[in-house]
Amino acid sequence: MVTVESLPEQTPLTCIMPIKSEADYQALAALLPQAKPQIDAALTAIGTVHFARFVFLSNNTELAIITTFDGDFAKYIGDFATYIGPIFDALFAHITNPPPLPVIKNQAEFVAWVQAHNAVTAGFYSAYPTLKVMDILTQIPPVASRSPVVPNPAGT
Amino acid sequence: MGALDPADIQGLILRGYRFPIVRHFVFQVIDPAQARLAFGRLVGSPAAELQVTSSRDWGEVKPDYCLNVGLTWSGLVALELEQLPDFSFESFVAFTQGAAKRASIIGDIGKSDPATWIGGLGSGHDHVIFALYASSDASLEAFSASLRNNLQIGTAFRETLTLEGRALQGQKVHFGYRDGISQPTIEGGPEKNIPDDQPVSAAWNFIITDSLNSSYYVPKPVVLGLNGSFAAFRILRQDVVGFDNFLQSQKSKIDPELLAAKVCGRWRNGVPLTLSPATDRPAPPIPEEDLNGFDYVLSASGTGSTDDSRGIRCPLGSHIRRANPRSGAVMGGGNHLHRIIRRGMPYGAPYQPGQPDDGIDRGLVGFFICSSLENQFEFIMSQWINGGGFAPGLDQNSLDIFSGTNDPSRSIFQVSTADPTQSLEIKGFSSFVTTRGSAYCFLPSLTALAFISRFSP
Repeated sequence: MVTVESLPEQTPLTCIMPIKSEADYQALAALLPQAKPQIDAALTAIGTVHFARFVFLSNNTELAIITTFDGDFAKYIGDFATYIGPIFDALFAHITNPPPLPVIKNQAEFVAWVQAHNAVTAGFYSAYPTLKVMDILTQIPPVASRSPVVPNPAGT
Repeated sequence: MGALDPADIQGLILRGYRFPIVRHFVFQVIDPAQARLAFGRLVGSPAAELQVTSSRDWGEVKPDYCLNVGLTWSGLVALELEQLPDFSFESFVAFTQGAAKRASIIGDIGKSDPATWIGGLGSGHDHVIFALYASSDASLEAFSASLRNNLQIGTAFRETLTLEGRALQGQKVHFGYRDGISQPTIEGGPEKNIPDDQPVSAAWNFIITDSLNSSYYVPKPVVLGLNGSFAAFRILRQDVVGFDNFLQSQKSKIDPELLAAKVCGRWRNGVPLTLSPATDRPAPPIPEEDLNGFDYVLSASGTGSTDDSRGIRCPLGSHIRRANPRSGAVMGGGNHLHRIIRRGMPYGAPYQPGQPDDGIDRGLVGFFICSSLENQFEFIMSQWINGGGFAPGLDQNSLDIFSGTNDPSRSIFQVSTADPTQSLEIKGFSSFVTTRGSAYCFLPSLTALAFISRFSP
């Protein structure tokens, strides 16, 4: 992972993806709100992501995923690919030179592609650099259930 | 995908045999052509004395033996299968690298380093592993002789290790706990496990299928890959004396049997702490079919679920909660994707209390079965067994007491109580399990074994 600063538990990621065309931007702008509930539920279940947002950049010619997460992204790729691989497949239809698809069957290639498109972090601040999502959750009342997020997510 | 074909899938994947004895054999291929032909004698001839066992229901009459086989990557190479057109295991990197190269990922370091492994395991000469389950000693010897005869030991193969496992009284392991209670339920599978509240696992998590949803491309040629599976073969030495001494060393702080239950997450008789936190003999007793009927957090379907998100009943660092966190909040959650099928049996004579220096090597031997060694077996071992801090409140240095690579300078086990001032932190313990051998295996279908026997480069 290309980062200038490395904090004990947290890793920033700024993955910038070139959008194919204006029409593809329009499609992505429509797709992302629809996918939000499923993405949110997946990130809650996986339990490593502090914050994540999609941002259109450069006059809507690029889509950025800006996030901060715990641990080694590659270790959790199986979870991401299972829960939200299909969303990324749909998203990548609008991106120039995407990784091999589907994401679920090309997980190592997906990780490599994201790392290759990760913009260098020139500076990074955290108010709680040693705390993971799991540590922060100890400070708030337990949720009733964090699972399952998708009915039979691994189903055939 | 269509329904599973139990007649083509090796039996140990989908069925728990419940035989009293198993003998594992590790073989090195000497003559590839003869070795390939040997597999053909073990499939497709129902009347023959010895055949590889499928997952098909054997009906009312239990056989005298069951036989299964795993091939390592170096075994596939030794059998010259790399010369097959389109040959590929591209989605199975851990398997192709092998257990020795992956050892440090899962904690096989120090005393568990591959350099210490027995019987050629990890050497690259560990090509083929057979598991022969038998109903009696007489059957074991008779079918062992048949296996060696079929395999032309000395000509086609060289035998580098045999290791027997034997069931102990009450389905227990050497540490004194009842084992084998929790197994994933597989979509379309024939096995009737003790029910739980967890989702049924899609078949592709355990069987190589052509499902579009699977995380892999079927190994090629597909006749070789389909209906197969993967497994980590493990020989794990258990230090029973060390474990008992550890429990007793804490008795001024906590009753040793309560600590034993906290370490496992179940009392020694299998009763889960989540359902019975104070006693292993609750009244009324917990029926057998309810021993898995619990969750660690309140969930919609949980018949036995309770809010134990802080680990007050069952510690966050207990063995069963680590290996299968169910619906609890953990890193890598969703919590039902990282499952494995466990097919193990104790090896070595049982420990007799009062004889701490008996010098007997004892432990657990068997297979951890899954389709993705990376995302299932290795994930559990590296992130949850040998990793801390993955659940809210779990110490960063807290590793599994049973099978974590614990360093006494850092090890910690947290026993939380409703009154936080009464919570315990137990420190200074070492590892109680040593890996004596490991091999990542492909468990080919019966069709694939016949295909291998017909192949000639």
